[in-house]
Amino acid sequence: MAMESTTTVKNEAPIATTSGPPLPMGKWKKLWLDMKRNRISYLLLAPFLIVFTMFTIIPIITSIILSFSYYNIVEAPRFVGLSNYKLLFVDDDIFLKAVGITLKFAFVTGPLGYVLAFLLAWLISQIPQKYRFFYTLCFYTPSITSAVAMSVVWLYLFAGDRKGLFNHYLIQIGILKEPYLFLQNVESIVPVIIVVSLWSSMGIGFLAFLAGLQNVPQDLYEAGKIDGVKYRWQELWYITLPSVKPQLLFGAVMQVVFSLQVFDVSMQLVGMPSPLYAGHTILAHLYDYAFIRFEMGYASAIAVILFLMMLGLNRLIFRVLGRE
Amino acid sequence: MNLRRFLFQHGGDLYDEKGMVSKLDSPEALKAMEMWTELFTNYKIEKQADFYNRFRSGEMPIGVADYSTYILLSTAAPELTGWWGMKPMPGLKQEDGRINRSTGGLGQTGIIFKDSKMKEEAWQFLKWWTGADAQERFGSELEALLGVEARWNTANVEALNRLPWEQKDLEAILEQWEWFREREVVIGGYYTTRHIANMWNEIVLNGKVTREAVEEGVREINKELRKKREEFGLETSDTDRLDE
Repeated sequence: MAMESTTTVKNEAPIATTSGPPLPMGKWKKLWLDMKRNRISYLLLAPFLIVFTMFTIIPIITSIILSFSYYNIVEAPRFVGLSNYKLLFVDDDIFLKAVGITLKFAFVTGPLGYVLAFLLAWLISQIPQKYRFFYTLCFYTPSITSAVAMSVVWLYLFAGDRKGLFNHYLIQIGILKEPYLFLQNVESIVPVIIVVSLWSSMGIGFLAFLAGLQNVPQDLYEAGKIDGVKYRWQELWYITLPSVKPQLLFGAVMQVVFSLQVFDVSMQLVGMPSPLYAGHTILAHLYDYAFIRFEMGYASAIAVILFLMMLGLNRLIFRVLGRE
Repeated sequence: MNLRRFLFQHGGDLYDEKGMVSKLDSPEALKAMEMWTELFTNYKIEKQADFYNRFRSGEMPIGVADYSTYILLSTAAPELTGWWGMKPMPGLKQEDGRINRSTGGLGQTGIIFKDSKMKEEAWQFLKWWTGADAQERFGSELEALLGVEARWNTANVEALNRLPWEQKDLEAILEQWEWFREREVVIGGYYTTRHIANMWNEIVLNGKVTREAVEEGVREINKELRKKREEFGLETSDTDRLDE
């Protein structure tokens, strides 16, 4: 933002001198002239802007419009005003339950995954460069594996079968008498999903931390030592953390988006819809209405609410972490 | 999740004649639900088990399984070839002494749109495709190409007789055929599947009283059936049921 404003100020001067007294110029005209002058920059921006508009902005606007309509894919959408939202908040118990589950989920996986990602990145950055790559790969891989692929492993571990790995050993050491249905029992569904998504949450945020930690200038640590840093914790707290603030912000934003969007894992592990809606996140509710009941208008309303929630949480994070 | 078998064998129904109201709270359905869930609560059969592997190891010498398990056992368990067979579904003895073996099967159907311009052609095509000759040819060519795992389970009895099924298995299939009963497809029917699973969960895992769990589920199912019927402008059930 700062950059842009300086260039406009700079470019204003020649106009004023060449055209004599300053003409009362419309805001839009000025913008247009600016754009013409900087057309190379706009050209370079174009590919991203076009794709972003087509695949992000237009869909968001469409879904906001559709959320005020009744739309079943086959017939043309019909305007119904606010009734989708009214239904959503007043009449849909399962939606409220889904919000609860999603928030419960976001408040556990979000912070925990965030702290875990940072601590792991910090630990990895302590070990010699040679082995770093290996460890990074180990932690990063789960986050890029598709939910289907990883469910193969986790479904075996948590299988309700007597021969499922956890059940087998728990029965053998005598904690359980009969197999426990981890993926069917209402109490265990959310914890299982939390565990699995924590395992797979060392994604982009983790990589950003790692990159940030490697770029902290060495002289800061030396200066710190001269100034009397005694423990590694002090080093971490007073030097490392402030230096990787941008990455911390980025990681937090990614983590929130990630934890509000948990659905794939839930669907692969406990099915769609999950037993007694115990693993029913907002996204699962959205999927239910969009692709099982084909009520696209209602589903769009859910999407809009989810979008607003994410936006709100992101603003909150920016406020807390990104002061400058 | 297979309440349907128990339900149909008890003479129960999923819906009323018009598909407007769930019939899962009828006395027959409750009996069926009790029988089904008591298998897990009273008789403690395994709630979840990999039948294929247990059958191979001999831990589970008998089981109720579907067509894909049949294919799996006949292709992936060569050591068992000739040691096992397929039998009609276990069932309940009726008053007339016959055993009611009702169960469903894979259901597929062909439709012709009302507004289609080529109704006659579509009808000819459907007749040809579901006919014994086409089905037999398709089935045998598929099996010739891919082997036993592609054995065609056609719904055309005549074609089925001509396909290379084993004689004993074929007899079992044909006996079972008399008891074929699949659930009706109604508007909003997805809610029934979902809530039967939920009822099972409530009764078997959470120890809820059967009637309570069933009635709660039925209320939800009826709500959704009515909602969907209203959405499409169809006749809805009258005020015989008051949902709040």
